[in-house]
Amino acid sequence: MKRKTFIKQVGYGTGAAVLLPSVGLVHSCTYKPQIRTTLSETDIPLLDEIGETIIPSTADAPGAKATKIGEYMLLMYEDCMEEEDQQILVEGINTLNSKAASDFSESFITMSPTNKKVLLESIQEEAIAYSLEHEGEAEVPPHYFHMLKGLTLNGYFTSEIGMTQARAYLPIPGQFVDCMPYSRSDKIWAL
Amino acid sequence: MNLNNKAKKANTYDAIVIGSGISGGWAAKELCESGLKTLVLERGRMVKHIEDYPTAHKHPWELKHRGTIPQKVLEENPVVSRCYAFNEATEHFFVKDKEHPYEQKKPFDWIRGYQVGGKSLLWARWTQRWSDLDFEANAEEGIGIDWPIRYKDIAPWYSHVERFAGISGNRDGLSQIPDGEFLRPMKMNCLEKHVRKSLRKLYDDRHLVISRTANITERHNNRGPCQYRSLCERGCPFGGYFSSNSSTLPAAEATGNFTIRPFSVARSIIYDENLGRATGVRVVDSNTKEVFEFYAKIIFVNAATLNSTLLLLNSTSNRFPNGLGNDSGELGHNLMDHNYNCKVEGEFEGLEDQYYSGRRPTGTYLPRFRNFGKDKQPHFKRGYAYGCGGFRLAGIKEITEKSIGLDLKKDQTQLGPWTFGLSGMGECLPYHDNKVTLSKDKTDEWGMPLLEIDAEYKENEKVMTQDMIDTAMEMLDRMKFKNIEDKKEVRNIGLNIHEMGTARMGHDPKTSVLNKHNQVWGAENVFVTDGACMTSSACQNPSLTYMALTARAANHAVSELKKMNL
Repeated sequence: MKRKTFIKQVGYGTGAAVLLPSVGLVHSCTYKPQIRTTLSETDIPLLDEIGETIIPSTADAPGAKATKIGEYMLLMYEDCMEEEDQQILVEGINTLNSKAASDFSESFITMSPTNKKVLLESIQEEAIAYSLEHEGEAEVPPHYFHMLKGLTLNGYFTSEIGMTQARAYLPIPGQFVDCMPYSRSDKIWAL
Repeated sequence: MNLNNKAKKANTYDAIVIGSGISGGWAAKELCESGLKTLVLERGRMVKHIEDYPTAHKHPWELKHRGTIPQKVLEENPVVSRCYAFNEATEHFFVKDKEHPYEQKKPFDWIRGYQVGGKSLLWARWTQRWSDLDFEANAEEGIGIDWPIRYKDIAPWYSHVERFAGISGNRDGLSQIPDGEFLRPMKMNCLEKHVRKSLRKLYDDRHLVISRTANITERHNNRGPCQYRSLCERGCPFGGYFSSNSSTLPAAEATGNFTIRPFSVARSIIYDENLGRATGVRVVDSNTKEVFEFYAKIIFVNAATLNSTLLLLNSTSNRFPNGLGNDSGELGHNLMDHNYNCKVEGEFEGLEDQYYSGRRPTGTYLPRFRNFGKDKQPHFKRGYAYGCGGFRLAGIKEITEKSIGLDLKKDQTQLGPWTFGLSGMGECLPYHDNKVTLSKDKTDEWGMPLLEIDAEYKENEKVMTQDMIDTAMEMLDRMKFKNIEDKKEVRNIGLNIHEMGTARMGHDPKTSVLNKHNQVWGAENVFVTDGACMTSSACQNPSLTYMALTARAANHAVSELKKMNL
């Protein structure tokens, strides 16, 4: 039987892809990203920016960066991933950086929030296409973007900010209310 | 001589109970309350109610990996990691694979909890009674051997244990899960109520009920009530659910007749051939490896199914060369678990304006309808129940998968559609060749032979699995659910942690290990009242039945002692 791994728990299934125009803008490439063989503390600022682009700050709740999402992602990378998944994530970060260099001529960290989102959305399209391509196959390795998105969502919504501000958290509910009205402006329970 | 006698006297009790889990706790309570000086031997460490629940109040963000088990622990513990309840907040209550090895002839996930309270700290707390549908099945179908008891024999003992433990439930009037002594039931949420109604309209034999559960809905015996946190497996600081630690052991202790010795691995039961009965238990101190003997008039074996049988198999004498009480050759055989290889979910369109609050620590239960009443299945015997639940999580799949940024954040802070899930819980038949034996050459650190487990699901279980899946999907379809999905649940036998049998009860010492009062044939002052005693498995969660059988056997033991029959 297969092991239950963290990445498989947070990973996403496939979904129908709507392919938007590619973001392959041609720029002179002056920024040369470093090639990583592993992730380390120096990557926390980059991971923070990726997380913040996936779950940004809004008026009602701070975004992923405020929850130290980069630290969380690094910890999960170090402690809670299989070697093959670690490899996919490291190579993915390299790919993401080289895309930032080729498409925007700068590092992901210094890009504008709009460009960050444009870049991640284009990578998300690739990830969705990848999932569709391999639909139904057994043991498909995760796409690195789905790992980053899964880590962000999981980390954010288990953080104090995510649980108590973005959602509503009752540590000791004290009772079970079987039916209560809900409207889309209501906060939902953190658990 | 004098000194020896003194030492022997100091190690002599009226009763010894081996194991402090859900059945051992009951044996201790009943025996102590009857006035017997009782020694409880527990192989693991002490776990005191409330003070030894280190993670009970931790928020998710206070756990280093937010609850996730690190990769290194997963790799070192492939078996226990597959248990649904094993996480960063509960791992200290589980046996790690490497610390207590066993041999698998075929894949068998053996999940254990070696501490005071055993797995009663970790159990799922579902407590449906059995009925004569279950107790009569073997005899009617000529499978295995007949149970030596019927529902009427155990019914008062179900009531006895329910009254003390505190079982919340509704009196539903269904004969396959007889009503008991219930505290106020937990409630169904809106979707569950809808499903109950729809099933009633579409079928005349499908009755969705709230699971009878050992979580208390009102204050009971100075415990609780349940606070609806659903963190039970960490140990409950409110005493919201029944465990040995919260309930039976404190009651036993209050009598003044109770002694507990943690770190005590029972190695064998001492049998005196002249007296024709057991006289005590040989114990290894798990820390010092020193060997002790303790003596008593009666011995209760409650080490949890497979360890109870391991102990009996390892208790050999001239009279019992193949293990205590093994004249029949059935000791170690007829191992069962339940079969949970069915998980189906579907989405419901509607009730969008309805939600719930609080984390109910139980679900709804669809009791057995197969091979019951008018239903006759040509291709498999017995039946199954479903554990069911309706819930609403964040996000609408299409948006969750395709968006990032503000759209994703909004999506993840609003509710998606309702989902209803059904998990099949199938009965397994007793097969002689599903068995455990002792390793001939390997022992553990404490000198016990390693257990070899050789068990598998067979044809009846496999055919039933398909019917559980097909029927769940068909019901959801007829109730107009969308995106109905077979979640392809596959678990090794053992992982449902309902291991039963291997020292079955019966009418006849030629075909069984225990008599109708759970006494070992040929050593009648030894009682086995945990899952090892089971003659068939039914499809209900078994712990309530172990508790009732234990209380019944303990009271029988006391009355036999009084009559000088033991």
